[in-house]
Amino acid sequence: MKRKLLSLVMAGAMVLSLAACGNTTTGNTGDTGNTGAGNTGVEPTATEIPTDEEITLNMWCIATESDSNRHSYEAAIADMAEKYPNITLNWEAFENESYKTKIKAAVSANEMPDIFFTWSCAFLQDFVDAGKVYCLDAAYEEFKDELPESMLGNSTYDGKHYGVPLTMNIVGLFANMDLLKSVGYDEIPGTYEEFIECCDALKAAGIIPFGCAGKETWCVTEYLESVIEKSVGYETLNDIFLGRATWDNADVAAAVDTFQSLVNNGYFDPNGIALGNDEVKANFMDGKYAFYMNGTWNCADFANNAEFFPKVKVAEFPVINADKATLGQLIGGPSDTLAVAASSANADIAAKYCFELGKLICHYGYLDGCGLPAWTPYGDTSAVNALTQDVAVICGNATGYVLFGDTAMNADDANTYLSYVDLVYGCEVDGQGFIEGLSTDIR
Amino acid sequence: MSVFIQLPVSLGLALALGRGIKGEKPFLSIYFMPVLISTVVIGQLWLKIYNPDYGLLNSGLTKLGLENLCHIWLGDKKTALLSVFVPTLWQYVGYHMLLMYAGVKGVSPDIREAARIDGATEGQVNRYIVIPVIKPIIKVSVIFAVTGSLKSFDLIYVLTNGGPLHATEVPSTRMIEMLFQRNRYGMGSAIAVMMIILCFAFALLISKAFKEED
Repeated sequence: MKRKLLSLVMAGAMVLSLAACGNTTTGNTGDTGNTGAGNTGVEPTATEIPTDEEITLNMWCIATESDSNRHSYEAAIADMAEKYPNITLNWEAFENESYKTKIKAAVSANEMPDIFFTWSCAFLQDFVDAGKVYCLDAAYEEFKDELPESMLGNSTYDGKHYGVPLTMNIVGLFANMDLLKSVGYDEIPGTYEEFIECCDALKAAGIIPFGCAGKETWCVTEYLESVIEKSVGYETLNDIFLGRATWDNADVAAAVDTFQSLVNNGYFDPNGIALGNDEVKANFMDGKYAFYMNGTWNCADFANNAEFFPKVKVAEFPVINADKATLGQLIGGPSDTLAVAASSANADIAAKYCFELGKLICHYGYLDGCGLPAWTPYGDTSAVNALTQDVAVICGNATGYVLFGDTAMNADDANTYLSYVDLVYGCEVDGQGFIEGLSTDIR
Repeated sequence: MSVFIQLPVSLGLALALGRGIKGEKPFLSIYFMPVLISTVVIGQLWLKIYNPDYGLLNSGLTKLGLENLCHIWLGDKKTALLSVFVPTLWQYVGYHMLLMYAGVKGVSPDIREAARIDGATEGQVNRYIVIPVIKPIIKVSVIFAVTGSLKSFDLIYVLTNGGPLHATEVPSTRMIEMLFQRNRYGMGSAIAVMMIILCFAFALLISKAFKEED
């Protein structure tokens, strides 16, 4: 009898522990797979944000304490709290790389926050295709005068808008001018030949030319994609990233070999392979590296460091093959985006809130120097730091943009691509191996 | 690695402490302390130790005049796996030691005394009396060590995330990559199922091996 009772208790405990693994969704967060307006064909209607009803919204983003955008989020959220005291926004910030995993896990578990940060293009498309993102067409009507439709291109799928763009960024070649001056350069070299001579001079003086975080592959792509773009031209690279052409391109192989020659010539910090981006950026600001190629969102952090800011300048990567590429061809575009979960109980209100919040984040982000505004700037912008203004000049002369490769491609292809970038940086494959591998593995 | 290094070290410490040496309790607490610390904290700690610029390891080697031994420990695929093993072993030695220590303490002092009167040395007492008595605990430790190795994830994720060039990839990091980075849910789920099956299979095999030995 005792044995039977014990067996029953054990079986009960097992059932309970299994039940604990089940879905705990309630109310509207249940089956929302088809509630995305884009999938059902039902157009949501714009609703005014109520000012008398208590509403709680949850938001996830990547504006961590150490992120350049932190202040712009805090300022924007404070403004929104003042304007809508009845709306409580619970927001959490996560580290960039782990956030990618977290948001995908949340999407697959149907446990998304009402508003979430995302990268546009293919990253967001996976969520839109799964019917997990709320269509913002109705809410956009109210803001179309302040947010040009051209800025929504990367978050528009099947003619419907799903994202609120924040700032727009490109990959910039940041230089520590003190170090460059120490080897006789008053400006960032404008041609590739001069650039290589400058790197040789830096190396001879015991200065490491490039800092690159090998532990975070996206940092390597900032260099590699710039080299490829300035070798083969932006149209070719865009075609490859967007699947209109294959990777089987001899010019790309040659460009990858060019990048690898920079690695093999010892221009990169060998320790960088074990470091994350925050550590590499800190090293650059400490004067360990002469150049740092990364997103122009870093302008804010550089501008906030009074000691370092006078030393830093930004330029675009020089042209390697003038027959195919020109200055003005840039890596970047509006990628940072806010989106609304289709599963949100207050999706229509969250959509409007998201636009207003996005506009404020963009405004403060631009003032802080976190990037160029996707929204039409307003107010006094004369205080924008000089580095961001230089970026604006570079973008003003732009003739074409290629969105970051890992954002432009779907998740599976992007990770295959990043694996090959790792192999190239680790000198495990050459340019030919890179294009052959990718043209085989990415179909 | 866990079975062949971690467990013998744990057993050695458990036998040494179980003899009732001076400072037994403080040593026990010190060895067990890494088990209580969050794995993420341990990961961050060892990241700093291994840092190629200012890390304790390279700085120590340089101070000792052994610059030629300095490495980019977590960035070189030749040393990355070993560098990840060290904190893993360090973290769990205390755990296995405590299990075995409890067993060693359970051995009756009368039996030990009788063996000593018969002329057995300390080593012989351990070899022929203590270890056979705590065999069931050793079996549990082996099962935990093997299945723990198959499931290991957190420390590797913090230290290298499977890199460089997949040199420290384990089934769990591969599963995470498939599930959440590549959105290949089928493949990710298959890896998860295989991990469960392998854990069960190894647990059964180890149990059987210990039974046969008995």
